[in-house]
Amino acid sequence: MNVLAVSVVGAIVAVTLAITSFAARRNRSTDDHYVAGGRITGWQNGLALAGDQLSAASFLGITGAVALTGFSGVYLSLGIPIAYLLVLLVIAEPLRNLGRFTLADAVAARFEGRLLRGVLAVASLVLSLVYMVVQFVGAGALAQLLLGVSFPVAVLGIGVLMTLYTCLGGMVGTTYIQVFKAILLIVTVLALFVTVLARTGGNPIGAMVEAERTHGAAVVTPAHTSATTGLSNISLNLGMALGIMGLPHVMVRFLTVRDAKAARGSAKLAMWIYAAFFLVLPIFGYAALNEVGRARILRDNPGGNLAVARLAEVAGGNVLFAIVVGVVMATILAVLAGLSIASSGAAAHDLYNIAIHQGRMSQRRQLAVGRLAGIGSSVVAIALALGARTWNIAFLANEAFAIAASTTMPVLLLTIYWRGFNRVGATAGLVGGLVVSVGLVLVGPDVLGAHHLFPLSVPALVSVPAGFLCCWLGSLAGRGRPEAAGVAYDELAARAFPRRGTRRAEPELIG
Amino acid sequence: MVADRHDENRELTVRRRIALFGGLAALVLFMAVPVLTVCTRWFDGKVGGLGAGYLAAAFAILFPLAGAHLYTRWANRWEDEA
Repeated sequence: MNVLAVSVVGAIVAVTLAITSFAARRNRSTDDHYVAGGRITGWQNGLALAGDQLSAASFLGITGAVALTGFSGVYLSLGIPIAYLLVLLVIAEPLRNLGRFTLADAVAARFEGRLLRGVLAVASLVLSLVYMVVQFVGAGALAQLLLGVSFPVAVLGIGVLMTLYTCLGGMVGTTYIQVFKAILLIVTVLALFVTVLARTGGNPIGAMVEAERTHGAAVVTPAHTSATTGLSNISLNLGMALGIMGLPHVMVRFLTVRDAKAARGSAKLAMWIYAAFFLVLPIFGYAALNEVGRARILRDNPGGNLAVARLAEVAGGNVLFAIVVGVVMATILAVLAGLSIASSGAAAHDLYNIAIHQGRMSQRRQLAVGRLAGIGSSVVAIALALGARTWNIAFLANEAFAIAASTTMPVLLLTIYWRGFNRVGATAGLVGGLVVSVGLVLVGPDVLGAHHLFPLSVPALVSVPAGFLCCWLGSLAGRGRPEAAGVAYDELAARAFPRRGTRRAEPELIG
Repeated sequence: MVADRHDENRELTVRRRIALFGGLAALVLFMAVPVLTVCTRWFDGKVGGLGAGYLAAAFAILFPLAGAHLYTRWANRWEDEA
């Protein structure tokens, strides 16, 4: 057992529990529990977004993928900044103005209906669960290396902590933990980057140059191996660029801020952090290939998920190793907390309160059911994670992006922007997009291996057009039904988009 | 009254067009990077010791920052204008 690493992890867990205890006193209502009462400032939300998005899948998975597959791993680091530009331009402000607790609230601002609400809740739950599995797999692999405990024990321990954070602290606690984790991650990545720089004579691209010299030009140039590999990389990036707009745990963060300006400012701050982070991750990957070696990376974990921790150990000794391990654990806990809040909102608010009880539950009962739903989603995610322990988690996360890009994203986008959209189209788009995207993942190479029926592990290239097509066909089918038309589009658009001079006319909104 | 309504509708149209066409243009520009690196050999070489593929990747990561800066500046002014 690495005593220093265990101590760092213990200290970080103690701080997060103290934060949760502090936040629990401010977590009194459903508004507090799901959206922190809308009191979060722009910079806090920007850091929390970074804390939510920069997951173990990114930090562990991308570094490992670059170390093991060369430039093909770099494709994994491209999509997040553009995804947030699209969020900023297209979704953040209307969602902030239309939504209350969940993505489904924004759609319900135009279309009422229990079936649609229920389907949206199921889609949100599937997305959150896939993403939770990714985090649990990363946590389990890392805890095995660090503590020598078995994978199931590690996953269970993390699951208990996550449940404590979200049940007691709600979105207030989750936000503070994500801010804390983002600051830790930024400082740690900076420290590791400086250490790697010191070993390459201060040359920022020294690791790449050395990798090319040692392992050949193929590791730093784009691969042209087969049409399927090429299409996989294009599909992966399409899924990433569009998927964030439909990920409930990320988009719900825009409901926690006071106004549209704070939503924009938070997205912009987060994008600066992402750009710096994703520019240096490939450098860490090449440095791990040079310093740790392919054989050792593969021996630690077949997916390469521990490459960055090993790089820290080789380059910075046990102190840096312990810090990186501690920060990765904090990363996993913070992301899981956000996912748990989003999934409990979908289960308790959308499914139980609105779809089943028609919105008649008391505040107190909604809060209790929300907490129970958090526990339930945690149990399901743990069970699924136990079967996915050897997968490269960056690829698994990208499947979640593709599912979001094919289900919730088209429905949100068309609800806000297409006059001809209706409730039948929304339901058809969700069901069709979910069936096609999840179905293609299940018959793809990540699940069926060499016997796959669909060649791409990330199905976005097929499933995103399929999701939009289902929305369009459903809207055509529902055109003759007045009850499916929902709120008049002009009325919705007037609510969704801030008008010229809004802040001058309503100065109290600036907060 | 009718003129106000007309101005209001025009404002909403401008706002929606900027969001949709800006988003679409950004997506096309971004997707050009993986499509061209996968389908052509234009980015297989080097520029000053750095792989051209990594330079293209850096562009895909950095240009959204410029887009975000321009949009937030425009949107803040839009909301401030009386």
